[in-house]
Amino acid sequence: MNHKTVLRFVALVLVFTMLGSGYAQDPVEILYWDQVSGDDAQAVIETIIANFEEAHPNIKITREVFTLEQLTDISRTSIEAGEGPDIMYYDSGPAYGGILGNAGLLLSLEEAYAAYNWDERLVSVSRDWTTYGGTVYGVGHEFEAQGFYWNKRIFADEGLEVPSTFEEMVALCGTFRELGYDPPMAAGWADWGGFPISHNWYNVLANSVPSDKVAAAISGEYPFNSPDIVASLDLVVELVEANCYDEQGSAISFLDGNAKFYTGQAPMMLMSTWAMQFFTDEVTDEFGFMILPPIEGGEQTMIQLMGAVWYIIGDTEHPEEALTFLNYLVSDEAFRLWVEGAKLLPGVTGVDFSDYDVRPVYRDFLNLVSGWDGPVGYHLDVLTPANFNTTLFESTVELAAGRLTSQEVADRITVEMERAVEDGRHADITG
Amino acid sequence: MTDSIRQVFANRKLRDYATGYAFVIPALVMYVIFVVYPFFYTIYLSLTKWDGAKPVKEFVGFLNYERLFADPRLWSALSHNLIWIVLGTVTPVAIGLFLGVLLWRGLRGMVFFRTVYFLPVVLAPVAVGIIWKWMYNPQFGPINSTLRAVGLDVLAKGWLGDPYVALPALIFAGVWGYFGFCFVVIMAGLQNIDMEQIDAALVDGANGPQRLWYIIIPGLRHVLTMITAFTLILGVNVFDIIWITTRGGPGRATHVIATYTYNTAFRESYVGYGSALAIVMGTVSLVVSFIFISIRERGGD
Repeated sequence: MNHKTVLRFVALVLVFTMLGSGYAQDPVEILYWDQVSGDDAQAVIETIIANFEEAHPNIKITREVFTLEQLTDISRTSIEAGEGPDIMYYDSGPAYGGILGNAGLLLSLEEAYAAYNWDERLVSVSRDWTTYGGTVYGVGHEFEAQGFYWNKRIFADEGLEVPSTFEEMVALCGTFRELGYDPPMAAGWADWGGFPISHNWYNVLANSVPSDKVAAAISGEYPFNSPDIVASLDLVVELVEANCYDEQGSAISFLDGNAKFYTGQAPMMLMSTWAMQFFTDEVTDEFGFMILPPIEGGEQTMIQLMGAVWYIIGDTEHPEEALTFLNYLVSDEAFRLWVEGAKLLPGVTGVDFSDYDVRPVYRDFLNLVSGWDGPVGYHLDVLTPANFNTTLFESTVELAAGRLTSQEVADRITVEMERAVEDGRHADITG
Repeated sequence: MTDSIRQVFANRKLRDYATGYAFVIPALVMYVIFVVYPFFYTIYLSLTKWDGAKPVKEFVGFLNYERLFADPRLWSALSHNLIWIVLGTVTPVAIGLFLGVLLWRGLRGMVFFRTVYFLPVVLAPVAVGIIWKWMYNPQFGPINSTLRAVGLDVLAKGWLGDPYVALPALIFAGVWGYFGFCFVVIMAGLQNIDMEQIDAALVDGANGPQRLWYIIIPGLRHVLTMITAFTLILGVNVFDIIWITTRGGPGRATHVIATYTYNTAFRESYVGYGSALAIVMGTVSLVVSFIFISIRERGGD
């Protein structure tokens, strides 16, 4: 063997070694479909991913961002075609993740809940609201409450009191009109149809109808056109007539409606705590957060919900890596980032928030949630089927416009619930 | 090449057939894959109960069609289609005819007007929807801003948020995006009008409306039938401008059969029922097309 041949052989071995080692070190790629919005929240998830990749150099996270609507449109067909993600941040309930879970398109997380001790670490609704057909498929993340933000400066300037009863709330809407302010419920109808007005109905429903009856209605065991539920829709009409809703609300987008509140045009805003992430540094006024005051004869009830949820796709080629990433998303390390940076509250138990650097309005929420020992109501549309939700959103807009009566709205949604029960698309939450 | 093949190609008639089929078959294959197969598959789906995700499609016969007749949302959507068909057909054709006749006799700057009127037609319906969503914005939109500027605050409103106004507002946007097409086609048709007849009518003392009614419109009958049929079919299938602006809302005020079908099949995951709706929509389109093609052929005779 001459000198040149030896050199060629050594070079060849080196090349193959390098190629081989390069191949071995190629990280596993996890495709993550996300719906996190808001600049701060986007920055937080990017940071979390960077931190995770640094700690797990064998895993690379590729994040693609969609809206909820887009995920609803494409997730099912993409997953079936084998073009879906490995992990997806999608909404909970039979209308969203339930469709995928019941069709066998999601990975069962029963073993993962045991292996990672998630039942102890996460709030119970994380499992409850992501269990479809008896199997848990999701890890809940955005723990939210429904309520009202109020502008502390305007309330102080105008000598207004935060309402402590439903009647005071109704009166306050009239006062806003007299003072030339916009009503508290405006945002998002143009984008989301009847989401906002329906969300307020959930508040009224929870505060006026016992939760066991609401649970029975959601489970298809108690008709939605029962007199007490119709009466709760009448209370929504009362709020409409009292100027609590913007008559142009159906034409105002979420961002434009929110801007009315941020700029002081509206002193109050109905929104879930999810909207904390949009309170940027440019918004200089300070706000408070309150839930709907109690309705006469009832007990004040807080609507809590688990907004979006992480699911792992059933046919993922990398379940272990996806689970590792999922566990990191609910880790202590990520938790502080979610709260301080994204203003989102992960559904994790036993956390001491006292040294957290958050805005006072967010601290109000954290204190409210951690200290709440009153009844908790249901946020319907994460528990009810899609056909019910569509009809509800359409009908409540028509209720606010005076085109339908409370009874007609109740009759419509009752029909849809009966259809869902017949087709087995409802959630049974009474068992 | 074998003798038999050589013989086939030697036969001129067969060669012509082969050449013809060679041109037709690729398009036919595409048509079968993307139109015929989905059409029959949709019919099959319309006979099933399926959520679009489960592996099993439950065969339910004509149950979905039975449901259609008792579905108030379908009748509401069809009534909106009907309004769209009537207003959305008559208005752009009338505007196109009016402008066409106005500019026909050599008005100065005809090229400019023709370009300006045709401009919206080159925009995708999605772009038209986005433009008009902004125009109708209750807070910042130019329409409300103008009304407020001239003291007509009382008329300023949430155009797309008012259930009583939203559908007419969308039809107006649709007409804006389409009348230019009618105008250009009518302008082309007007070039074939016999000027001697017009001059003779003038000598006989016929006024403008009489010349329009007795000479111009009959002379344009083929063109008018064609654009009317085309516009009617668009009225049955209208989807994009509504989906971009209102998604069928507020409430159900602007749902048409196409938006309702999409919503049912893909948002509510009732794919079987949505397929039945799609079949109804296709049938309505076919009936409308058939009627107008028949009228047109009769007119040609």
